[in-house]
Amino acid sequence: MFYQILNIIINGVSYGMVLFLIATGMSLTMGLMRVVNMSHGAIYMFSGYVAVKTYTTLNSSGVPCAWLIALLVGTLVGAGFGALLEIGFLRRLYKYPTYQVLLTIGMINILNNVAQWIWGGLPLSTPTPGFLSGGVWIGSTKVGYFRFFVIVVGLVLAVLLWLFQDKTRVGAQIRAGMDNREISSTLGINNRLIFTGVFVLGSAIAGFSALLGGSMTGLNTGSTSWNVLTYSIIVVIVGGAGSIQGALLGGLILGLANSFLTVYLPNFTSFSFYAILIIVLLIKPAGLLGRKMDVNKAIEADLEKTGSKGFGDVMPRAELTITHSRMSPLLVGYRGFPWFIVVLFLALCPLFFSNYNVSMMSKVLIYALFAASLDIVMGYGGMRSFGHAAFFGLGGYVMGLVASFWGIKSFWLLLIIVVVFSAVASAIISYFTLKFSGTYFLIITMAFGQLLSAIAEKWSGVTGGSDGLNVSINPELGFLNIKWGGTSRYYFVLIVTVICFILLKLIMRSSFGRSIVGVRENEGRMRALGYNTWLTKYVSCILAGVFAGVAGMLYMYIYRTINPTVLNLTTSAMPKIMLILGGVATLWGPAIGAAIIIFFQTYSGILFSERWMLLLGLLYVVCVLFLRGGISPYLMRLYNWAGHKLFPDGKGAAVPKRSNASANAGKEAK
Amino acid sequence: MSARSIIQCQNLDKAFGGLKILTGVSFDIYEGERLALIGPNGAGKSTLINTIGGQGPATAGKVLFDGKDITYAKPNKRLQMGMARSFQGNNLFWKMSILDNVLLALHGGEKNHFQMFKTLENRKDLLDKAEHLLKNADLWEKRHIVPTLLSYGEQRLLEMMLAFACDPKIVLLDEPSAGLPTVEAGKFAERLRALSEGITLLFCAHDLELVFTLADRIMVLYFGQILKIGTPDEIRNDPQVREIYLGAEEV
Repeated sequence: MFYQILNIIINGVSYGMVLFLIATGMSLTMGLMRVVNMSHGAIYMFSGYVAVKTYTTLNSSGVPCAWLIALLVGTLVGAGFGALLEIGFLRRLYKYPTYQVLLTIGMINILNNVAQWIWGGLPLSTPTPGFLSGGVWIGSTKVGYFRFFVIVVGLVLAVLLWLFQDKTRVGAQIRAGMDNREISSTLGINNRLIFTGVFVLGSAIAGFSALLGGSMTGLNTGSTSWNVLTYSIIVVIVGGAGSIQGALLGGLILGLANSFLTVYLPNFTSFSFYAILIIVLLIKPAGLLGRKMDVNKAIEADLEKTGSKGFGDVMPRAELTITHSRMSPLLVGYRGFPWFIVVLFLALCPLFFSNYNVSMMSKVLIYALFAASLDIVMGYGGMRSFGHAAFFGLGGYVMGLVASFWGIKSFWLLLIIVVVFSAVASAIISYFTLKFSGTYFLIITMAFGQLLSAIAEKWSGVTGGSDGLNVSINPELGFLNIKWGGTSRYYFVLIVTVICFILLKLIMRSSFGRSIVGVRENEGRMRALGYNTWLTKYVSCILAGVFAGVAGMLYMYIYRTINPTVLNLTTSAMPKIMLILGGVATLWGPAIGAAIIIFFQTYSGILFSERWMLLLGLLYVVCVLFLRGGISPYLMRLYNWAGHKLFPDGKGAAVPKRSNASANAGKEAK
Repeated sequence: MSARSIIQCQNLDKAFGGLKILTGVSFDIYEGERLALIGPNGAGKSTLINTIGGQGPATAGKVLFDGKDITYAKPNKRLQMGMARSFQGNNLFWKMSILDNVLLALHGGEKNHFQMFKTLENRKDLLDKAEHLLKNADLWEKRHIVPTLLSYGEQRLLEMMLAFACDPKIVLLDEPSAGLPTVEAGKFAERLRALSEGITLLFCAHDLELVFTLADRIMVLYFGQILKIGTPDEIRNDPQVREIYLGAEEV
């Protein structure tokens, strides 16, 4: 018994050390720069691959100290990527958490795909160096020296980092930067250099730990990047961002919990991280060793810096300045965009599209609705939600489960169930997430999405696990007896989507919609004007959840299968990039974005087969770097221009003048 | 001056950590009066306004509004009860049109903010009120542009309008004329007088001309305590006040 527990503790501590090593870099960058580097795990993966391959090559040609050289190479690769990412990209995006996240998610896709391209898709096993190959017997189990080595290395690094942060001049500058960036820069501290240095250091540690931790985290070109990312985010939140001791404590807690649960409650192991995360969030939102100020400060900084609260990043310049805008009439007597032409076009699609393209169009519609629902919180509300796929996936899962377990076939009944369930789920989740704002909101929403995804994966008795849930069901309307096929399903999706868009349009035009925008622009003033801003945000989160749930339900009707990845981060990133590409805080933005992304995804998949993830990653990077305002302002300009050409003396003549003035105003305000 | 008090402050204390800003501040504001708050920098004027207005509750003591304890009520609750305020810096919706700014303020005074299918533009009553307000301020022509395009004085006026939009019983103004050039100050005071017709007013200001033209009573704060409350004449002639506050200017 004693030996067993000792064993578990050794396992847990060594795993905890690996988690600590992985998470330190994340913790430092988040604490100091408030940069969420999603590609942290991908850097780990890539450095690990390079290190392992180096070791294999060197070892086979008999070079001495091959393992240590490989360790060094891994560290350098990590540092190199860190430098490239920070200097080349993130430096331009300090103020825009959403863009940082999207860019680094793009980087994950790129790195994963490139690694797969070079080294193939098989998982790697990490080597144990010759001088650590033995082990000691503890009870009846042999514990490798390697584990002890990991623990010692982790402790040494922790002490070194702690000394560095607390006792050196550079460390003091870093801490000053964490406390107050502006003041520290006025004191003559070169923040830019410090930021780059810290980022490179963090990435280097990630690269260093890959060879140590590879055996415990696994090393492959698919899930490793995501898993490592999730672990490090959880460690950072549990321990407290910016604190090395916090990362150590968080890593140890998670490592120990993991190894104890693996032995005693194997079914709960994968939830243990999320359970700890949520408990910590409820008790001490700033993390166990995070200063309480950290969260508040992040919030305050968000509130104060941008006149429009924590939103600056996703504001399209043209739209929001003119909230009353009506574009110059293209059709005389018709104000606004001729939506019916678009709907007519969509309705005629099946006549001249192949079956394959029609099903792609269904996907476009579903994702357009999904992206539009995200737009409520992200575009109109200015909240950086990164867990929106949770509601999308939940809608699909709930519909599938209810239909398969209770045999409910009626569309209407299922719709009611999905709407109610999404609303309740959204109400519960948003209740917790809304305690945070800014970058923290982003991470917490992400954590909830990952949690649901983990549940869907592990609760395989009900959800079908990672194979997914397969339910073939047609929308039984009760009054039309249709023989369901690709085309009729497309029309069904089209009708539901159009109705949802009309509802969204009405809601966003309403006084409630205007107050959501008001809260985004200036929450303090809204409160002073008599609005319950918390409730406004809460209701808008619930609304977004409900529409996402309906989109998920449509997804289930079309695809007839759903798996846990639909709930997680990768799916959450999709509507975000659609919104950014199309333009936020409009309803046509998400629709255009969805069309572009889905077309791109489908055809790059056809044309470049396995390389499509790489292209998608590149697309993310391009969007974030060059198309930050979305393409809708350009389209709007084109539309206005066309309107003028067609109707030089049109009734809308006064309108564009005003909109130009406001558009310029938007630029000046920037 | 009617004798009914609309706000009663009882022994207000406000401290930020160990730093005491207000100590034992007790006073009444009577219905319909314009009470000015003066005092040197750091005397606690803005803190007092924030404490009454709900931007950070008092550490000890009570604020009664119409006899109801509102010490810890949230700002939106206070507005619903009829207490509006403006801010020292212009605190507007910078990316929304001026009309939208005013419509949001008007809508804020109403009870139900969760009408999902009614637009503000279709609310004839709100539009009429907004038109009235904006025409009085000569901003009606500019209603579709964003506030960033306005001059500072106009922005200041809009800031005031947001506070007065929803027919409050009392308005708290934090430095209403802050940053205005003296040339504009006179006209601004006139507009403020017109806006606040029939509304109780508590305002703090450094601009003594505004204080003496607008105020019915003046309260002098000095290091977090009330030094003196009285009519403008009494304050003007009070030797102690002259010494610590007016002295430098009048001599």
